Amino acid sequence: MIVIKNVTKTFPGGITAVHDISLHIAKGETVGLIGANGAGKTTLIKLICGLYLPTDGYIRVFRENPFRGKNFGRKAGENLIGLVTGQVITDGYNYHFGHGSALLQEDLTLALNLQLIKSIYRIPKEAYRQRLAALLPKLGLQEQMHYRVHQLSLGQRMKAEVAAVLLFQPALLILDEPFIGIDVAAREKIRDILQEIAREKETTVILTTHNVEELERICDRAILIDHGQIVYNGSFDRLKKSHIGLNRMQMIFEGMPPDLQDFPIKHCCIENNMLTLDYDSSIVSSKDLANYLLSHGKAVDIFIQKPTVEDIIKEMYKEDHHADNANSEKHH
Amino acid sequence: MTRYLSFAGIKFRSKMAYRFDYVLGILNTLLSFVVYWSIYKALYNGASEVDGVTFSMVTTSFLISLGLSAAFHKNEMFLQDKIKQGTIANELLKPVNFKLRMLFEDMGEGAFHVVFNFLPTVIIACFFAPIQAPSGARDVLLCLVSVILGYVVLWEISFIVQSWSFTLFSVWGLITIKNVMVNILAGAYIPMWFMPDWLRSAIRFTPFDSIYFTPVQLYLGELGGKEIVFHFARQLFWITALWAVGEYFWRSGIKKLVIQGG
Repeated sequence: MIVIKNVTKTFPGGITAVHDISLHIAKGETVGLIGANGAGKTTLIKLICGLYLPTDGYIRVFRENPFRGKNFGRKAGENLIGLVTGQVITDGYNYHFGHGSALLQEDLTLALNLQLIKSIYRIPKEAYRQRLAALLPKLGLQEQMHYRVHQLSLGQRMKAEVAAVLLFQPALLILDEPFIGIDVAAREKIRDILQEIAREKETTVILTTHNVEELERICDRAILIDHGQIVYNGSFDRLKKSHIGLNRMQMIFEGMPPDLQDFPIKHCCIENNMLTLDYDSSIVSSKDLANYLLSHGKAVDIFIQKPTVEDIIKEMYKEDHHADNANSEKHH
Repeated sequence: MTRYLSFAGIKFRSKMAYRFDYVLGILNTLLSFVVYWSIYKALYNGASEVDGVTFSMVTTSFLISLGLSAAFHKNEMFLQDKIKQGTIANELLKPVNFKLRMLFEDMGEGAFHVVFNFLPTVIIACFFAPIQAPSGARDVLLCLVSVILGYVVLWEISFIVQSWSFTLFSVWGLITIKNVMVNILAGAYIPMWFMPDWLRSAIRFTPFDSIYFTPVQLYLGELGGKEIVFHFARQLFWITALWAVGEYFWRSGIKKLVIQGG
């Protein structure tokens, strides 16, 4: 189990990236971390990995303090945490849109890289052979074994990183933006493997991505972070239900759309001949609204959408920022 | 230990794939040797010795230095690249000592250069240049031990310079200065015999002559019993001292990383 209690991380210069976060993650749970750029996701991950010293608070990963002192001396056989990062990395001069996990070495072939992983993490020969035989076909990497890592495409590389991290079977697997710049086919393969892990419930997984739909398919729980604080922590279902009322209707008309009169609509927009309405279905029923529009204008086409998790999150951010603005105005 | 040896072994194996690279490497090493040999041939102009140093001593000394600079491989931008890419943190998650892993990786690459660049050069050079045979089997053995110690001394100097990447934007300049100093003061280009006395006695107080010159002297059988012990002791002293300095820089760099982020 991962226990995070009142953890704060303030960097010199006064930026508080993580502010008083408390969190529990059970063994075998698959958790999705959601947040905009700069919300504090990566800082939180580095704190969990023990790569940052918390300014305040308490972190335990499987009863161990992940922060191992300043020289990072590690005992042999400690392969508790596996970290895969898929973020844009920079060498100070150029930006590489690539994956900066450091799990694989650029100038080595994939085969040699995996052998290196085998000896660093002391994987027994037989186990190594079996895991490799299971992983490679699943990820479709057999053909890439004799390529150097820098020759691999982004998607192949990410798959290779996932293979590398799964070879040593960490108790906690952290994937930070693994889907950046990756095509649908590769994404599907990675997702399949992650879903399998989630089903087996042996590995605890923390996943961050901008793609909320992806998270919803894989994760048991969503944690929303904004400005270094948790704004939502619970199931995706509850997240949806709490905002379930919010619907969107789009109708295309011949000529001008009709006047809406006094329907209590949340948001309305007309673009060319298309009318887009966001409304709360507990206040206005979709049926009444559609009937009214159909009888007052010449409709060509109609769409009604339930909100996606992504929309809900956008909405929550908006609310959060409104609250923030209101607060700061009060202070003035 | 097997972990670190596999870092070296895998580096060695991966280098073998670049075949064209090592043909060029041989050419490069051979060319430097021929240039140097020609210059000294002209300088000696048929004389059998200058200041008690024979032509074959100079040539042999240079050949050994050349071999050592091939063997003494170090990836000097390694730490800076890791820090700039932000992957240093992830490196720390691996259950290995970062410094040792770096050392062994460089050694693996060095071993490759010795086998595939230096040894062919020696064989070719023997056909036309007066290469002195080692003074005895014992000297060869002692020379090999001091080569390894000398390498660690050189590697630690490089690591200390590299650890400045935690504070500086680029350590390239520092590394260049360091390399010029090492090449001149350690006697890689001009054998110590030809240096002015004041400079030689000054260098004696620095780690530089432990790097190339001690192995050369051992190979040529120039050192007596007591001197051998003294030279080994000095190499070990520098290894310990430089390791401590490197460790201090490393730890303060990591401390910065852990508190200030990176």
